Amino acid sequence: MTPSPHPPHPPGNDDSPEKVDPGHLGDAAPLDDSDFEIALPDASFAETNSLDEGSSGEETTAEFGPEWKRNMVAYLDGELSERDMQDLDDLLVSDSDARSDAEQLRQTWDLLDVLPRPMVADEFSAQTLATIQAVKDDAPPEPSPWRQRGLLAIVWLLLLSASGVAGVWLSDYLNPDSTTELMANLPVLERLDQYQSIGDLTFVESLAETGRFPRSNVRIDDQTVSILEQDIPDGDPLRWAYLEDLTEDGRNRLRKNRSAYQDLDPAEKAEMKRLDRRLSSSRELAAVAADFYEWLKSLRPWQRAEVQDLVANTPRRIQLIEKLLDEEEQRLLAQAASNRNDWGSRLGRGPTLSRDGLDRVIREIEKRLAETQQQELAKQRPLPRISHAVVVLELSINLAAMRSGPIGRQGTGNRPQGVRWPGLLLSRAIHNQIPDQRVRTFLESAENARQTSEQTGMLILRSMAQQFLQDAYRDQPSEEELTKVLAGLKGKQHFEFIRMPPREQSRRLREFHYQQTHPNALPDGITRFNELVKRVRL
Amino acid sequence: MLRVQDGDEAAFGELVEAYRDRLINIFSHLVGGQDAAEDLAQEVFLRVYRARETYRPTAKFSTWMFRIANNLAHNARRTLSRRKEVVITPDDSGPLGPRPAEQLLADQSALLPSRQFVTREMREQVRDAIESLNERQRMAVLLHKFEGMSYADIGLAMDLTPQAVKSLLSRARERLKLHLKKYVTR
Repeated sequence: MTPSPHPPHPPGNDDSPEKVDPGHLGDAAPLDDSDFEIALPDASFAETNSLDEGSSGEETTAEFGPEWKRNMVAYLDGELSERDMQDLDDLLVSDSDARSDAEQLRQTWDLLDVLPRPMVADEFSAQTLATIQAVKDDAPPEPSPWRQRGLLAIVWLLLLSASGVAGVWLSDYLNPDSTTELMANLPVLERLDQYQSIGDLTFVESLAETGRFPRSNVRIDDQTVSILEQDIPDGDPLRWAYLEDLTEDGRNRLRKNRSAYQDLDPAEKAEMKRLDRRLSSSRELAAVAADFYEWLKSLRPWQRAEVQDLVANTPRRIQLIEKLLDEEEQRLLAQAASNRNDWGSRLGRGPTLSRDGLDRVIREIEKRLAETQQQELAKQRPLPRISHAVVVLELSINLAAMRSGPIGRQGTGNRPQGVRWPGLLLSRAIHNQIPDQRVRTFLESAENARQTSEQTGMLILRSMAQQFLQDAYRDQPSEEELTKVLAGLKGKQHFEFIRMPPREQSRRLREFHYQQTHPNALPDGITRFNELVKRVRL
Repeated sequence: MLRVQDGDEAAFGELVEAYRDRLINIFSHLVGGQDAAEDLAQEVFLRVYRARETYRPTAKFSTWMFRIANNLAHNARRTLSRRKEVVITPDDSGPLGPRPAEQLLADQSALLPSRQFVTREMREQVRDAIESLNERQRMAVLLHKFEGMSYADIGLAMDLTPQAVKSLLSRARERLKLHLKKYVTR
């Protein structure tokens, strides 16, 4: 076995972000005796305590002595030389104990397959790229040579460690105006990053009106409370105490923010203060702003840039945010759907109707049911909203099936799988009820009547599914209620649950809770909805 | 990685997508807990990005990356042991972390079909067995088992000779065999 040349040494064993491993083990664990502490069951296989024993590169099993165990494992891993492989093959053929030992090693190795593989949240990649983007943004425009950077890092560290609290604020003592400004503007300075990302008060108020933020007020992830929702004390003595309690990172952030704040023009400063006063007096608006800021961070860099480019145009910015939220919900929906074997991913991609839009469409379909069907529907009232929609669609499809007669192509008898629903007239009627031009344009893009029909049907079903999930996710159970749901998970549900990333777990728990507390939100669970999907998708 | 060196931003996104699950899987077994694993994986990507200029394609990118991961995991474990933090593994805690509810779950597991119970118990035993390995053994086992890396590549990632890797894996597997003997037929 010929050792390959070592790769370039990566920087992983040094906490300094700039420093590259000079090419030795560095902080990596030193060799220790713990690698040799197993008492082998068979004393005849006692080994010496040297990792590099036999490291001449030639492996030998000729005597099946001290190297035997190592060679057996290497044999199973296909890492032995051909000659040694042959020797071990011969031994295994002739020695049942050796065979048994090899088999046990193999089985043990296979057992590792039961180890759980964590599920990684989709946000991970976006967050990682965003972090890297932030690092790039913070980086100086022209990197200095490494020596210079190394020196700068050392100087920087020395300065930081030597100065501490006193050093940071010394300049403030020498410059009373600066200190006064710092104390007076502390809340704004502490939240400057957030305020600069948010923009202005009008935007936050418009955002609150959409009802889309905050996305959830249940903190079951290990999220920390945003600085926007924390109280920053009033009055100089309390603010001094607050400053003294800041961590080094906190002080650095504040210093950076103070410098950035000083560069703002008076109008911008005034707007920041106005925003701060309003958010400090309204928990609701602060929660909206805090969640928006968190959401913004979770976006991909180019999406975030797009949102931020519109900071001066609130209506367009809100429009874009809602579009991104819709896409996010679509993704969530697709993810949720793909997690259910019976939903599959057959709901397709495309826009969805608003709540109002879906209600109008369902009313239109209901209006066009046969009289007997309407009577049948009346008997079932009151039904939860999405359940009602399921029943209306079932009746409408049945009506279409009756009108088109027995279908020979896919079904038998009156089985209506082959019915095109909605037909041309109903499609037009539905189309007229859709308030969103974007959705209408999508439907108009269909190339023929058959596609129009399928796109319209799937649009309705997708909207129903999305709104069902929205209701589940917007449901706000207490932690106690969620604990009960968690305790009630069993079998496959529990098995799948424990493999989910924490964010997905929290969503899934809320969904389970919603299903338990709203058992009729979908009729017969998911079965009838699935059947509808099959019938609409030709 | 060469595209990343050339300033192709999208290529780095592709690298993250391609390796994130693998890194997080390895880290979750090394340091315990998905959150810590995700943090470490993110740090690896950050360091890869920062060191992109120094990367030379003399070895596989994955080997280079797992070398960073190995060093980071070692640092992380050392920090954890200094802080004496209690690491909660994914199976031990839900997002709520309520011990009574989990105790209830554990009690309920006795009611589950025996096959599932055995799987659950077996999984815990296997995890215990993995945790019984020392840090270096565990890394070598994970790289070999989950990444399918050769002894030579593991050696490059861990700064060991292939012979040392062979010895490490041999002892690791003997230890695993002892821990898991009840599941192994003779």
